[in-house]
Amino acid sequence: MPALLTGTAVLLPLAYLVLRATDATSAELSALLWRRKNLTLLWNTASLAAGVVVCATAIAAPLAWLVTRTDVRRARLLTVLAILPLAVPGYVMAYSLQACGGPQGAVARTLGFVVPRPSGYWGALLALTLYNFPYLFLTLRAAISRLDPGQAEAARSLGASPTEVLRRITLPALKPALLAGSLLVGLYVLGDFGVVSLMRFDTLSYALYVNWTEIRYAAWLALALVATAGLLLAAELLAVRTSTVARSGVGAARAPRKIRLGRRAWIAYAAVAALLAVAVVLPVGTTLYWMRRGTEAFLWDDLLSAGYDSVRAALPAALLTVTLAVPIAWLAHRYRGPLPRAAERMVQLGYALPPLALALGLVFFAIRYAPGLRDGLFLLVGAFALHFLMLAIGPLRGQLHLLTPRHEEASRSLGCGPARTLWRVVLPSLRSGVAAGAVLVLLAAMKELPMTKLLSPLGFRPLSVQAWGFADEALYADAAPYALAMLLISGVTASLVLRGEAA
Amino acid sequence: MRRIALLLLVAGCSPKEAPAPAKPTEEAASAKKPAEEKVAPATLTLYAGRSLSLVKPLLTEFKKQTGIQVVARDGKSGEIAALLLAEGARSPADVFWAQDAGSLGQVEAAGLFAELPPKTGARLVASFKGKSARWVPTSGRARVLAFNTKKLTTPELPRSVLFLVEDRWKGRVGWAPTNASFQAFVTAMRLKHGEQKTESWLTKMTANEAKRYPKNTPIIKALAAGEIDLGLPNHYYLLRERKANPGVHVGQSFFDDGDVGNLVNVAGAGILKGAKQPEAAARFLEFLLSEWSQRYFAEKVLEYPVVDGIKPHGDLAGLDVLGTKAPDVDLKALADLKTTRALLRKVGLL
Repeated sequence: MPALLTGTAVLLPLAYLVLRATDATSAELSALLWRRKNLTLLWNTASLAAGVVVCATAIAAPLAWLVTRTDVRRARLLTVLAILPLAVPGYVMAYSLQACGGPQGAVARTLGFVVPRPSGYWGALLALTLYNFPYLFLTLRAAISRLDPGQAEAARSLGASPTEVLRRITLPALKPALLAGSLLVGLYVLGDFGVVSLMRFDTLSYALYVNWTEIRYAAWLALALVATAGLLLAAELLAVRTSTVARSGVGAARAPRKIRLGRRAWIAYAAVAALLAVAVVLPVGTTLYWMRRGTEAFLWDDLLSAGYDSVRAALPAALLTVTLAVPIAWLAHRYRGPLPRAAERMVQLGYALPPLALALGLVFFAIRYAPGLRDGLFLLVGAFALHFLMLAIGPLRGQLHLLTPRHEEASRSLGCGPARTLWRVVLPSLRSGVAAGAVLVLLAAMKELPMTKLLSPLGFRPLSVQAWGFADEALYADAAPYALAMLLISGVTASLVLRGEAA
Repeated sequence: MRRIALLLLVAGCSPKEAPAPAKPTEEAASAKKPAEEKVAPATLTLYAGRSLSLVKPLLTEFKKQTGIQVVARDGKSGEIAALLLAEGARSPADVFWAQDAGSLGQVEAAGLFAELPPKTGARLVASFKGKSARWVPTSGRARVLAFNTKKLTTPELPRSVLFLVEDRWKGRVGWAPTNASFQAFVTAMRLKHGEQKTESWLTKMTANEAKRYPKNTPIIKALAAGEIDLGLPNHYYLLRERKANPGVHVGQSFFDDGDVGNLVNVAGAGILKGAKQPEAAARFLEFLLSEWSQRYFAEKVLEYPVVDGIKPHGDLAGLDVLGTKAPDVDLKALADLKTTRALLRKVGLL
C-alpha cells in the first residue's frame, strides 16, 4: 500500500513534465532540442557525476575501513565528524573553497602562497566530493562492519593471497553497498545546482534552474535529467544482478579482529585531519569569518522561529520517510515479483527527479486541483518524503541482507500476519538502519531549498531559506548565524543517533 | 492511506462536488468571523520578488505604524511572477513587489494588476514618474561597470558597453548571462540597438572570452581576486562587499551618458486585482514610498531612492546624475523577456 501510494505520487510530477514537454510545437521543439549546447550539457553532467562518484569512493572506502576494522581511537567521534559535511549547503562549500584561492584569497593572505581559485569541472568536482562522500562512507561503513570474517579466513586458509581475497571475497561482498552509495552520490550530483553555478560549470540541472520560468524548455531539460538518472539506475541494476551475496552459515557473524595500527596510526590521523580540515573546518570557519563583521539586522526571535520552521518540516519528513521506507524496503527484499520491483524503481525515480522539477510538478498540480494543500506543510513534507525515500531505504537494505527469513517464517507460522510480523519481528532488528535513514533525511531536508521555497505555506522561513536569502544578497554576515544553526542542529542529531546505534 | 484520505478530503471540500456539506462550515466560519476580526487586524499577503531577508525590518516597521501584519512568499522576481501567472485569479496575493520592471510588466500584461489608487507616487522624482498606471517604482537599481582598481584607472575604462568586445579586453570581462538584471539589460540593448547588433555583440563578447558567473556577487568576488579586470554587475553589490571588506580593490563607474550599459531598472509594486485587502495593500504601497522606507532603501539596501528629498548612499552619484547617465529606454518594454532569452539561447549563453 505505501509502495503504491509512493508510486502514484512520483508519477504525478513526471506526468506533468511530459505533458508540458509535449505541449510545444515542432518548430519550437527542434529549436530547443537540436542544439550543440544540449550535448555539452549532457556530457558535462555525466562526466561530473562519474568523477564525483570515483573521488568520493576514494575518500570514503579507506575512511570506512579505518573506523570499522582498525583500533583507531575515537572511531565514533570520527564517524560523526565524517558525516557532518552532509549538513554543509553546497553554496557554502563552493564559496569557502573559492575564498581560499587566488592572489587575494585566504590562503595567500595567511600562508603566503597562491593556490588557484577553483572553478569549472575540477572546482565542481572538489566541492561536490567534499560534502557528498559521507553518503558512500555511511553505506560502506555499515557494509564493512557486517562483513563476515569467516569467508576471508577460509579463503586465506585455502591459500588465497590477501589481494586475491580482496578481489574475490571482500569486493564482491561490498559491491551492493558500493553501488547503493554511488547511486546516492551520482543522483545527487545530477540534481545539484548551487555548486555548479558558482563553479561556472554548465550542467543539465543548472540549465533547468535558470530556465524554469520557461516551462516547456525546463520540462525537456528535466526529462533529459530523468533519462540520465534512468541510465544510472539501469547500470546499477545490471551490476547488482550479476552479484550474489551470501553469508556463510546462519546466525550472527563473529566480530572481526581489529587491525592494530601502531605507528601507522599517525598517518591515518594526519590524513583524516586533512580531510576534515577541508570538509568541515573550512566551511564552518568561513561561516564564522562572515560573522566577524557583526550583523545589522540579526534578531534571536528570527533565528529561533527559523529553527522551529526547519525542525517542523524536517522532523515529520524524516518520520514519514522511514515509515514508508520500512515496508517498501522489506517488500522489495523479501518478495520477488513485479510489484515490489516497481515500488523500488519508483523510490529511485523520486530521488532521481530533480527537486525543482518535482516541486514544479506538485505546485502546478496543487494550484489547479487542490489549492487547499498549499496552506499547510503537508505538500512540503510529502515532497520531502518522495524525494528522500531512497536515502532512508539505503541503510535498511543493507540490514535486511542480514535478516534470515527463518525468524519471519516462524512468526508467520505462529499465526502473526505480515504486518504484525513486520512490526514485531523485522522492525526491532532494523533499528539502527531506521535511525541512520532518518538522520540522512533530516540533514537533507534541513538544507533543501527549491522544494522548500516552492511548496511551503506563506510565511514559512526555515534556516535554509533564511541563510540563502541573505547569502544570495551578498549579506554573508547576516547569513552566518542561520548557516551555523543548521550545522549545529545537524551535528547534534547525527551524534545522538550514532550514540543510540552503539547502545 | 492517510494521503488518499486527505486528497479525498480536499476534493470533497471543493464546492462543485459537495455543495450541501459545505454549508454548515460556511455558516460556522461567518459566525466566527466578526469576533475574530475584532481581535486580529488585517493581514496583508505579499508576494515579494526580492529576498525577504533584506526587507524584513521594513515589514516590522509597517506593522508598527499601521497594525497590519504582513505574511509573505519570496523568491526571484521572475519566479514569483511565473507563480502569479500560474495562480491567476486564484492567487492569495494582495501585493506583488518585484525588483525588476520586466516582471512587473509581465504581471501587468497578464491583466492581473488593479489600477493604482489616485495620487500614488505623487512624490516620485521626475525621472521615475509615469512608468505605469498599474505599478509604482519603489527604488532604483543601476547597471554599472565594475573594475579592479589595481589593474585599471578610471580614464582607461571603456566609454561604452559596446566597446567591451575590443581585443584589449579579451578574457578580462565577467558577466552573468543567467541573471535577471543582466537579461533586462540585454532587452534594453535590443530595444535601443536592434536585434542584429545585440546578437553580434553577444557573439563577439563570447568570442572575446567573457567569463560567465551565476550572478552579481561572484563577479565582485572574482574582480577582487584578480580573476577578471572588468565586470557588469548592479550598482549595490560593491557597496555591500565594501561593508564586509572595506579595503577591497574594486571600483565602479558609469559608461558615457545615455549608454545602454547604464540601464536604470526599478523595483516596484502593484496591487493584484484579486486582492482581498485592497485598502491594506494601498497603505503598503504608500508606506514603501514614505520617507522611512526610502531612507531604508538608500542606507540599508543601498539602492537609489525614488522620491524627492532623500539622498542616495554617499558612495553613489546623485539622482540628477543618475538621470543623465540612464539610457532612454521604456521600462515597460522590459517585459519582453521571452525574445531576449530566445536570443541568449540562440547564441549559446542560456
